[in-house]
Amino acid sequence: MTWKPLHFVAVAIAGWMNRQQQEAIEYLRTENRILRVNQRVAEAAGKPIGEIEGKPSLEIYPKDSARFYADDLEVIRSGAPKLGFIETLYGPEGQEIWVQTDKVPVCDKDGKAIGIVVMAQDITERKHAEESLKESQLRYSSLFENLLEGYAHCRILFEQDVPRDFIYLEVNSAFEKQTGLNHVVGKKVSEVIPGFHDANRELFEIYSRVALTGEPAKFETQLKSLGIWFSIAVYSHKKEHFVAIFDNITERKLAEDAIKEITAVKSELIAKFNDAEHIAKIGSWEWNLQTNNVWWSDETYLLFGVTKQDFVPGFEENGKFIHPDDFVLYGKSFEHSLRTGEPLNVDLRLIASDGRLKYCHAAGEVIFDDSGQKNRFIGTIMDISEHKWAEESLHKSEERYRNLILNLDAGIVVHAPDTSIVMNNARASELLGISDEQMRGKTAIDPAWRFVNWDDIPLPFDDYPVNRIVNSKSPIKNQIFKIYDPGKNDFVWLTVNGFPVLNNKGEIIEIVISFIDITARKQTEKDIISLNAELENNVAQRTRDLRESQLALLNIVEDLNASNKQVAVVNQSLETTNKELEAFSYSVSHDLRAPLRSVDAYAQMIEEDYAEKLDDEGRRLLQVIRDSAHDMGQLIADLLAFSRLSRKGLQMGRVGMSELVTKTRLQVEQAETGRAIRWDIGELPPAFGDEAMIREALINLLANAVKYTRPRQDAAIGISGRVDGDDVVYCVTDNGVGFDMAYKDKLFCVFQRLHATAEFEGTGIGLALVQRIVQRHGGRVWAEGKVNEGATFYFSLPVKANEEGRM
Amino acid sequence: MTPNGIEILLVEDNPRDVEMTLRALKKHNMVNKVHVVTDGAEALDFIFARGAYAHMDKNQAPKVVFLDLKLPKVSGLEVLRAMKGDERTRSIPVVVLTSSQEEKDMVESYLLGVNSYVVKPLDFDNFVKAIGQIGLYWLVINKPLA
Repeated sequence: MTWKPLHFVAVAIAGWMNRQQQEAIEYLRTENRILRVNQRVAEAAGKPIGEIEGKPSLEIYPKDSARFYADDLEVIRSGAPKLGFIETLYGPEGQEIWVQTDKVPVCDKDGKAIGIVVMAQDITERKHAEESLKESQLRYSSLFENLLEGYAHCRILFEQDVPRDFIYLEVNSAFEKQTGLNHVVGKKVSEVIPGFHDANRELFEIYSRVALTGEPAKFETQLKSLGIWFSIAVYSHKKEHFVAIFDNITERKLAEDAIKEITAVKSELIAKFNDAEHIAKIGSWEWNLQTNNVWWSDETYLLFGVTKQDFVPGFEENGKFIHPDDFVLYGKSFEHSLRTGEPLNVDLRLIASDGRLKYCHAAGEVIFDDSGQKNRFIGTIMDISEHKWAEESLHKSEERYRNLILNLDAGIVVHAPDTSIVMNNARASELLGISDEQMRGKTAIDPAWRFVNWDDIPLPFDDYPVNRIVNSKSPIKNQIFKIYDPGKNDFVWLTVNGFPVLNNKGEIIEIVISFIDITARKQTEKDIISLNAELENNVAQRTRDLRESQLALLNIVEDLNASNKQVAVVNQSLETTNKELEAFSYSVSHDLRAPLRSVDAYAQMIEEDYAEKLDDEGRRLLQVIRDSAHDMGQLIADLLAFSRLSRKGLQMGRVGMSELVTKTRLQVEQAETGRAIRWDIGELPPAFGDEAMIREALINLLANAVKYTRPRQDAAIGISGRVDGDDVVYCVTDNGVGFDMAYKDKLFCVFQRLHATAEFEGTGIGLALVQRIVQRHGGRVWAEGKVNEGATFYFSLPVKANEEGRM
Repeated sequence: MTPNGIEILLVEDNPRDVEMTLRALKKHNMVNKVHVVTDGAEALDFIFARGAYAHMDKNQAPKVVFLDLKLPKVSGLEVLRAMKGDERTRSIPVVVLTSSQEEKDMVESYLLGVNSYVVKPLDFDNFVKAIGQIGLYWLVINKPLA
């Protein structure tokens, strides 16, 4: 082929020579003579263009010319250009210059190569760069290959714009080692690890995200398909690419897990240890004999009642908690153990920080090291307070139990399995009439016992309580029989209960019998039966008597009813009578008085109107009429008073006798003026009654006293009263004309008088009235007197409320 | 002195008692002004100026009425009740002049508003004295409504 580079080159070069300073172009002849150069060649050679052009190549490039020429000849001969050939030459200072040459043959019109054009580009810098690049690449790949971490450079593959896969572009040997995957470069992960995308979706997403966003990520993950734990750092240097640097941390993870588990187990163990100590109330301690430090377990702190924060244990410090009485023992026991190497075992009392007393047991041992030196003193301290208290209460309860048995009213006998007596209480000896010494060793079938049945037949041996229990291995209840009491030489009735005590093999270890003496009860039973019989008889008799009484009572009730009816009838008639009496009194008071007044009035009128016709006798006769009328009026008044008394009801109340006497005295004195009477009135206790009526009575008595002392110049009337039990007795005494005691019964009768009206006026009603009144109050009247030596009248009235006296 | 001229109305059925009372009044110069009626009905006729006394001046009233309790036709208490029950006659002083000492008569009279209750003494001298005192009091000392 005709290659016409010259023209091409010439055209190109012309423009080129001006533009490309870097490239040096030479024209060369076949004789190896440099025809033409550009500035660059001149600079590179270090000579001006004039000194190069036309000179043989050998002159310019002494070292390299031969090589050049050989090369050039090759090109000319072949007629084919040689492009991109990289060679070195040396500059004027001898420095190495790298060039990249394009050699193009120059042909004449016939196509015969006559020369060569050499275009050389100074690529020294480029070469240096290439070299350092290579060097760095070497370094890099060295690093790359020697990295412990796996390195994978991948590109995400999309399926419809969704990341679905990636392709391994570059991996290092660590990658292969770590993953166990070989020859993955150029392969898709879906080929290399099937199901990777689905099994490790999260991982895949991270890769995609990093590759797309450029944001790096760091994390730990487990590739489930490989079962390996990785710590992965991912970054992206180019879109859709990512680099993952990962480390197989499976071992580390396992180790971490193992540590976690161990830690958990350790915590659990420690907790269990503490719990165990706490439940058992045992604390542990360790005394480092070298350093003198003392370690306490949690429970020990609790025991002493202190905390790790506020107390540092030590042999001396701990001693402060020991009970003062045990302090010496504490010191001695530890000292002994230390000295002799013998184990420590001592009971000590602690006073915990809250003041509580605790019984404790300390146990420990000195530990020697290999050289026989005392290394540590380790041990425990256990709170045995509860044990102690349990012991004590057991003692107490045993005590109580013992006391109970000894003092019980029932007899208790404890037998060994061979039925011999092991223990008995006092009551048992008493009931059986046998002493304790006699009891011991006796068996149930000792001939001294004589058990006898209800009907006096001896009890068969098999029926003896102990034997029954031994044979049946079960309790007996309320077996009753008689036993001969040698002490009393008589039989005693017993009711017996008993039970066997069995061990856990079901064998009898003890038989306990209790019995009470029911002799008295038996006797009582007999008595009761006979009593019952008697009672029944009595009851029958009583019933008969009762029936008779009932009948009698019924009769009485009937009679009573009849009486009541009669009483009602009588009452009715009484009421009628009362009403009639009232009417009568009214009539009397009104109707009788009127004519009486007339009599007196008209007699007076006669005296006044016919005074001159009357002589003394006439006047005397008229006076008699007047006096009679006057008497009658008085009688009527008294009668009225008397009857009024019967009709009226009593208005009971407290009666101040002193005041009443004062009033009535005045009233009575007014009626009889012109007399000097000496009144001697004592302290009068109050009475209880109808004041009006008592006043009436008093008026009558005082009036009488005044009347019957009229003959006396030195009339004296005394009134006194005294309490006598439930009554007050008043007395009115005078020094008047008195009376003959022979007639004392007549004194209080109606219309009965002991003096003539000419001597002393009066109707004979007064004292009857007094008696009536006093008797209605439930009191009595009586009198004492002597003719011409005065009289004393007594009457009694109740002090307090009394039922109304008899009518 | 009233136009009717009556100062004392004596209501008494027993003629002897009437005579005694008038004699007593005479002794004290008070007999001129007395009018006597002998039963309760007549007493009321006089007081209320009706019946036989219709001709009398209704506005004139005696200075005092001496009233016995036991009267025929209308009893003394009924007269008293009528007089004290009527506004026109309530203010006329009434003196019950009776033998009765019965408490129930007294209580009833006072409840009805009697101005004075006098039990006639049995003794004539005392009777005369009492009449004089009563008359003096009611006719002279006491001031009636004009």
